[in-house]
Amino acid sequence: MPEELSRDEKKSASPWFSPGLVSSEEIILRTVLDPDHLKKDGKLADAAISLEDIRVRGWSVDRKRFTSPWAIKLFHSRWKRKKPAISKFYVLPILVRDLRYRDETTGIQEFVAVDAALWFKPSHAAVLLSRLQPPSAARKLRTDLIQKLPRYVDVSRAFNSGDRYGYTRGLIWHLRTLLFTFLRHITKFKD
Amino acid sequence: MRGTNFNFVNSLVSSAFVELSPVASGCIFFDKSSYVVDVSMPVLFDVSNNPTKELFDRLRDLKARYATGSMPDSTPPSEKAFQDAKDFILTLPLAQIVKPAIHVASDGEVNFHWAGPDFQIDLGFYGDERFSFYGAKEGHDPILGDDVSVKDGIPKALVGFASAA
Repeated sequence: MPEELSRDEKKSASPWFSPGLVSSEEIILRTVLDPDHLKKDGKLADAAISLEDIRVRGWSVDRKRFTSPWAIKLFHSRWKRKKPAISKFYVLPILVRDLRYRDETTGIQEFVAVDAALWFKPSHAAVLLSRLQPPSAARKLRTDLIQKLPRYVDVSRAFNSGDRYGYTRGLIWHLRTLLFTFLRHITKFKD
Repeated sequence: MRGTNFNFVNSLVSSAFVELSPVASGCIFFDKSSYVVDVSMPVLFDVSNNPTKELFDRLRDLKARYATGSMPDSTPPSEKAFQDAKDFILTLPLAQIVKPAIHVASDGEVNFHWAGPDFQIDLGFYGDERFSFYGAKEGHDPILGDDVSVKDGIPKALVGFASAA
């Protein structure tokens, strides 16, 4: 069983690197690496979101405010080198509010978006179920989520000119958090 | 009485030396030799449409494509997951229901998905001889199932959801 990610949206899953909690007004970007998951109508196949990701590990996304087009394109070009048959990668720009909906049947917010920043990747976040569910229930929620997701677009269409410095912004917050957390630990140690 | 001798038809179709061409009133079977056998009988099947074979071909393509991990931190489906999918296909009443779309997820799932204007079915295999599913159709209660044996085949209620009629 893979390591389970924290489902608490009010706490960062990586407090040492966190540029802040994920707000509902943010846009998160998911790169679709597997062309077989792209449907002709602009939507995703169900298999584009693995059950293991939404149940346990977290479905990896980038927070748009803390990344830049070049950072996403760099990630894509690395994958193109590994998979030369793929000519283009697409992204899904998702408004966080759209996945924090309450399920009609349960009345519960079934998906959470948690900050899961990585070392020198401040934009990293994850989407997963708000509670551990059996596979069949996870299938239902995955089907519901996919219907709510927007159509995939080219990376250039997901950003505008003002988004150029997102990565720098993220990195500043990243280093600031790291410094403050370090100083807090030092102070605690001295006390 | 007019009927179809399937043993005769099968023996001709299975022969490597015979070509079958459907015509309006029946079939003409061409042998590679100089004579032609003309048999007048109704065409009761479409030889070009074999959904089981199409689904098996799709599985074979996916197996080749996902022989190694396709994405970061991905797990390719196990041989057993593909075998379970094959065994499951053999239980499907494909004359009655529409064909599923088959995809592979990054956690090694072989996923079957049916979608129509008023229904959705999501079902998948991980290679443990079991499957889980979710099905929904307008005007019906959704159906969910976990740890269903592949040998049991598709639940009857799901067949009702996906029926072409």
